[in-house]
Amino acid sequence: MTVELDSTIGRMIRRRGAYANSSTKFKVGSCIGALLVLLAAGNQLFGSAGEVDIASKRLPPLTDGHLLGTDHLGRDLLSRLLASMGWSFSIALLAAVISLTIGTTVGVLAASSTKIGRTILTRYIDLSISFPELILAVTIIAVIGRGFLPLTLTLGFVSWPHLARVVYAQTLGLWTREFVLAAKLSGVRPMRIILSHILPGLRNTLLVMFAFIFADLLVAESGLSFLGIGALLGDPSLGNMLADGRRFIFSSSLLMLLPCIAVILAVTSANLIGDGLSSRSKNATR
Amino acid sequence: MSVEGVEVKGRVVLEIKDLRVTFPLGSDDQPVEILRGVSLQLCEGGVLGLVGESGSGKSMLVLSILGLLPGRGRISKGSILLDGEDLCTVSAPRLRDIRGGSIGTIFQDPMTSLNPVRRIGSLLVETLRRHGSIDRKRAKAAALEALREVGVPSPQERIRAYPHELSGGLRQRVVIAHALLNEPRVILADEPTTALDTTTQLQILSLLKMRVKNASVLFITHDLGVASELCDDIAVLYAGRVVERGPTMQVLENPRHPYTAGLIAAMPHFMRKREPLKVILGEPMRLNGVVTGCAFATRCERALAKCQTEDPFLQSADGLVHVACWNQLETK
Amino acid sequence: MTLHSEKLSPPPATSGVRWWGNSFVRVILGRVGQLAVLLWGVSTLLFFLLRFAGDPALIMAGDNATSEFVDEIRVQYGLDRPLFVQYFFFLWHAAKLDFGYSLASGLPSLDLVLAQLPWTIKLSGLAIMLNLLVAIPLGAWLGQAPERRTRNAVSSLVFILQGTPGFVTGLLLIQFFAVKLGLFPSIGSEGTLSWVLPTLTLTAFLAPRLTRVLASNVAEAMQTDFVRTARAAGASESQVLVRHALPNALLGTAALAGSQLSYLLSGAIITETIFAWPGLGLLLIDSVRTLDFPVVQASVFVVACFVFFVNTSVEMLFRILDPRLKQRTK
Repeated sequence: MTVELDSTIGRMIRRRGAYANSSTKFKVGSCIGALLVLLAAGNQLFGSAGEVDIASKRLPPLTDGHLLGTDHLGRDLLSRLLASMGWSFSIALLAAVISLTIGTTVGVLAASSTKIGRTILTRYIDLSISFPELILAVTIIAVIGRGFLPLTLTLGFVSWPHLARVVYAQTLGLWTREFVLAAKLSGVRPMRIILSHILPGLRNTLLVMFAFIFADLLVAESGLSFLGIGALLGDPSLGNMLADGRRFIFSSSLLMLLPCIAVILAVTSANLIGDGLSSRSKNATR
Repeated sequence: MSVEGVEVKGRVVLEIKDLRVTFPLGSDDQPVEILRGVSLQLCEGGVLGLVGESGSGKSMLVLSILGLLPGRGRISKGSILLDGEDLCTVSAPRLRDIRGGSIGTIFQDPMTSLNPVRRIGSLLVETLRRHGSIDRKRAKAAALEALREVGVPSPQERIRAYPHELSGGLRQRVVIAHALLNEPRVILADEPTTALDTTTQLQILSLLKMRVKNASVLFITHDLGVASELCDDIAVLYAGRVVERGPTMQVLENPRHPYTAGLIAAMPHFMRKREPLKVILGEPMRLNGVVTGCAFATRCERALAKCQTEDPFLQSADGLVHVACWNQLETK
Repeated sequence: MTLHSEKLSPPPATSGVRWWGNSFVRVILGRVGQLAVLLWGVSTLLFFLLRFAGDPALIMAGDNATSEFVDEIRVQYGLDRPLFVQYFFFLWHAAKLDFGYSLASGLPSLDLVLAQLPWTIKLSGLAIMLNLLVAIPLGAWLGQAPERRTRNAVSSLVFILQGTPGFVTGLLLIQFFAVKLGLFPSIGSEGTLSWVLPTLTLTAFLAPRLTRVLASNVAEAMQTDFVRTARAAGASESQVLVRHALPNALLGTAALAGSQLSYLLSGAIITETIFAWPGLGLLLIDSVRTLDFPVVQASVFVVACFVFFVNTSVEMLFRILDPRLKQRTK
């Protein structure tokens, strides 16, 4: 629903505003995101996960070469934080890849199949969306256990229906477009059409969804770990750090505030990237 | 009378003087002029057709009369006088009184210009009650009457309908009824038939012709045929400026501006079956900077050296037709 | 007369009664069918997940059980029979709403779940109301003129809030209001004051999303032709917002309602655990930690039913409210 002002002029006015906004969002988001990822990756390569040293536990910042002090087990808080970020980001990233793969496959299949297949798949997608992801994840983890791999697989498995629905709607739209119809009429096989027309057409949507899913899964991972049903006890995870921080909420609030800030920054930057990308691609197709 | 003057038939109701509208669209938000000094006069009971291609600023003219320019558009110069009252300077509440009161507006697309989640009746009643102190019951009766007058069949039922339950033609009738509710002095009709199919177009046109007898109409269209049906006068807009203006018959039969002539030649005509349609070469002007000389010069076959450097102004040889061109076509 | 010769669309409204009845019955029947499928699917998933986890008899018997005791349990629960027999056995019990006894407390697991459910419903209901009270005015205000400076700043704030996970909000609220100021209790459910922080946490979880969606819907509606029509008919900016743009934008959030509920329940789990709120979420997490499978099953079953009923009623509500949906019944 767009206003047909004076067509050309109106379009120019709308596009300028939206574009300026979306490109700042994208820039700010990717700057913060890149910084966080670089820090985490740098620590993974060159830093340490923080040695346990009960003697020097919960030191205040800037003591004994600990920039941010130490936690309740005497680990350097900064390296612990960076290691946790690396751990949590990796899970969210891998799970998002799994989710994206399953979701795209199911969505495209649903939109490209016969009427019966379509009905079954869309019903399935709708039902799974209505069921709370986190509860499903909790149940599965109860059975298959905690830790890096189970968590990644579970999160990847529970989060794809949303994506599948978006992909489904978009693919349905693409199938009615002239260039796809033309390919269909000239006898190109459906599989080829999907590979050469549908998937490229979905690219922008998938990029946007990837950013949002990453954000959601990061929240889910740290939430589950915070509740004690995600990461294992010793794993460096933002959720674990938060749970630890909570125990010392009365004495040293830094232990809790730091991972809070890390989570907020990471999620917000992913959201910014997603938002920026989505309004940018909306403008491009308008 | 000045060169900008026009032969006056009746009392002037709406007068637009040297209207300039700018938008900050250029690089570094440089203001770009969308309307570059438009002067028009609308006489009592007259119908003035405003013709031009898309991007020429037709709709922006309507929106600036209503004070509804989108985004950061501004009226940078000029005045819009409604019965002597300058709409550019009146207070906001007064302007709201005038919108929907003295000025009724019909927009282009009836599919989108009615709120999909409001019943037809509630919209009509709301507008009626905003501009006059009448109770709900009388307002509803008036709304029914208004629907009947624009030829909506069984208005008793339609008044409870939602827009999506009506056909395009019926919706445009509702839009017209809505615009005419408070017996406006001036009606702004922004391509009211463009979005309709041809048969419905004719019905709506004849309805407009019938119903707007008492009001003055500014009828915007890109269809010269429609304009010739309905309008007493025609003004041709190109790149935010009136390039030719005069009584309909004179302008259409004897265009003096090359652009007007081009528009007429590009019109399909069923008497001249086998002739290919003429096209105006080039693209419509891009709105991104200062224009030197005549904006049409780059597309004009008759352009002189003078046209590239000096901006032509509206002038008239006979006091009827005004043309802004250095190298006018000969009168036949 | 030629003016009347347009093709008439079917007369609206008055002849709607019969049609209404039909469509509603059909929709509800379809819904009941879907519920059956959902419950079957959830039960099946649970059953096979459970088998996958290991020998249930071993889990039920506990760590130090003798092998005789394990065998006894195996016979008692029918675990010695073939898998598909067990499966139908399980389905049959699920259909009778019999999920067995909690391994931790020995009480019927469904009773345990149903006892906790009202706490979750009350907390969620409160949060939803607060959510609507905050998000609708805020979203409308932000969407009215999103480019203004103050609103831009507020939007950014809402954006950051949206990126703040529920448990982080909860922890920060505890840190500030319970630890620093000592105004409200940080855990438990006793007394009116203890409702404050959980409700705020859950609202902070819900409201930013709704606000942002509503704001963007309102902003879009403000650009539509029908809003221009309203303005051209003399409506003031507040009338335009409240009478023309907002109704449209609110109905546009209908699509969000379903996912919002599953979002709410996810939020409730975490909020309840943080604040030790005796609701369904806390029960579920506790039973997952202690591997109390009958309770997990009963909770998941109840959640599925609950989500389903709320979603269906919300959908019906929007169907009644939105004239465009009314006509487009599948």
